[in-house]
Amino acid sequence: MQLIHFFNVVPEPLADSPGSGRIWLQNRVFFKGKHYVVTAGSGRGKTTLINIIGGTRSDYRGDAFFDETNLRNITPNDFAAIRATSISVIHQDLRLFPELTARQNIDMNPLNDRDAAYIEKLATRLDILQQFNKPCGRMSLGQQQRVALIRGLVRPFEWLLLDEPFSHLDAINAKNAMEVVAEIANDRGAGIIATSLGSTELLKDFEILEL
Amino acid sequence: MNPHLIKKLLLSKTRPGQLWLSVIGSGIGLCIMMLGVQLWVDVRSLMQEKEMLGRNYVVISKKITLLHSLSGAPRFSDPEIQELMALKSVDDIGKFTPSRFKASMSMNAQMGSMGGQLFKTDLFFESVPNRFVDIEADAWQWQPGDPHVPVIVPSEFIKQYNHAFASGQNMPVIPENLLKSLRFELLLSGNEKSDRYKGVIAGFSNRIQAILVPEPFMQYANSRYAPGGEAAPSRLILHAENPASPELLNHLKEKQIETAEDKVKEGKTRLLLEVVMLLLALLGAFIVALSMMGFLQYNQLLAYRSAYEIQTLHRLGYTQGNMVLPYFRFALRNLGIALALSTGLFAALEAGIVGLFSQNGFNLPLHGWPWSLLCAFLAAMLMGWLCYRSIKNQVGRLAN
Repeated sequence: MQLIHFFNVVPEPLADSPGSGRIWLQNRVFFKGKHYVVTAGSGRGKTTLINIIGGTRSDYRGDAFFDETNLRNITPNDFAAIRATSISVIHQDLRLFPELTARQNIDMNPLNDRDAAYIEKLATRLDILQQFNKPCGRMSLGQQQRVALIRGLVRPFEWLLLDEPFSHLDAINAKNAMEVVAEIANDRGAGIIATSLGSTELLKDFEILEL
Repeated sequence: MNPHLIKKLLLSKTRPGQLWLSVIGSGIGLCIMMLGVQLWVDVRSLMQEKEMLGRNYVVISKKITLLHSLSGAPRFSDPEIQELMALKSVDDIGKFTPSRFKASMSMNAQMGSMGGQLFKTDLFFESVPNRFVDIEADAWQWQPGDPHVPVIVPSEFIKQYNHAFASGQNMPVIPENLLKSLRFELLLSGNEKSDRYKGVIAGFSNRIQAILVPEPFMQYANSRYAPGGEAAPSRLILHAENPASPELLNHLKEKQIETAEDKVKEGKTRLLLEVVMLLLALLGAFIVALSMMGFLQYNQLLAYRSAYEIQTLHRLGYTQGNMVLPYFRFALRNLGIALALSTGLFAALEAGIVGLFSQNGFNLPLHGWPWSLLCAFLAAMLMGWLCYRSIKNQVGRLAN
């Protein structure tokens, strides 16, 4: 999946007020291997953008493509299979299982292509290893965000979708996490599409697209 | 992928109380269905036993009024027979052919066990088409030139002879099987001809209250001793699936046709029984359907309680099939338990019912339970399939 192509796409709820940003109702191509950050205030459809690409929303006008394939022609089950191998999404609401431990949550990926030693090394770098056997429901939001990040990084992906990924991290942890994300995405040659409420200082080398 | 964890996540909210309620409910539903099927098989076999005694046959004739004492017995014309045949409840009609010649029968000393002529009596015969006669075909044949003529005698006739006539006249009592081995002489005359034949009792009939001879013999004898007198029949024998059907009864009443009353009464009893059984079956089906719905609802609810887990797993990349499987396996396991439960309950209740029947003088023939078990198994399969579909729909709805 070399590129993601948006052609005149606008979410139904924004159809009457698409604004003059660089994605909605535009001809926009995202290239694999490049990093993008989408900035906008609340209610401009950042999460919707992530969910359209992730295949969990289809209430939009216009057409979106993975290479030549129109997203509307992909069934929910096929989309799930694509996510399992090619798209990693880190949701704003994290989507962890509160009764499972961090280790078990990471184990819930349909496929993990990194071994336990790698995962522990990553956890050490993100300063979360000592919480690894604790149920996620009993962790702070910042700790949960790091567990969700690890879960999203140890599975195979060509595209990494990050929905406000550092919102609960302090400055040091956020910088640390950003370095890890960029390193792994580059290793994999993956594209990144991140969203942010406005601050983009951490996101070096990201193309900034306003919604 | 960690199947154990997926199962744990999806089936974390089973609520044992509700689970057992749904399992026991569907067990009871299946049990009621099995009892219904078993009862139907048993009672049906009781009713079929009676059918061999001619339950579905009715002999009809027209009402005789004073007017007929001058003109002779009222007869059925061809259009009238066509009319009867056109009734939905009538399957077959046979005409009675009466003998138009003089006939007498005698039993002599060398044939019986006493000296001299045992007795001699005037007779009349009737015949009906062979398909209405409940006797093996071999014993019921006659060809021109054959001196032996098989005869069917009404069982009632023998009873009357034995119990009323013989005991009053100091005559020997003759059991039915001995009668079959006796030979008697038939003297037929008319049209200035007279012949002797040897009569053989081929059997006894509960169905037809007349002395019957084979139809070919009747045609031969009528044309030999009373040529040209062919007349329309005054009695008919009907084969009807239900002799008490309102259609048939109304028609007979309207045309002033008489019928053997007890046959109709029996038919009415049977009809009542069938209506009651049908109502019970409908009630049973209703309960079975309710229990099935309860079971389906439980499984839908179980999935609904894990809506977050289903949606999240789907977002992580699990297909709907991955998530339907644990639910379906769980439902099948519960169905298996319900089926085992219902079979045990059924075995116990069925034993009780058979006991109750035999206490009241009905010996239910033992059929075993193949039909009940088969039906329960099929119903469980149907339930499994419905479960699969509803779980699949539910997971599909919740995932997106």
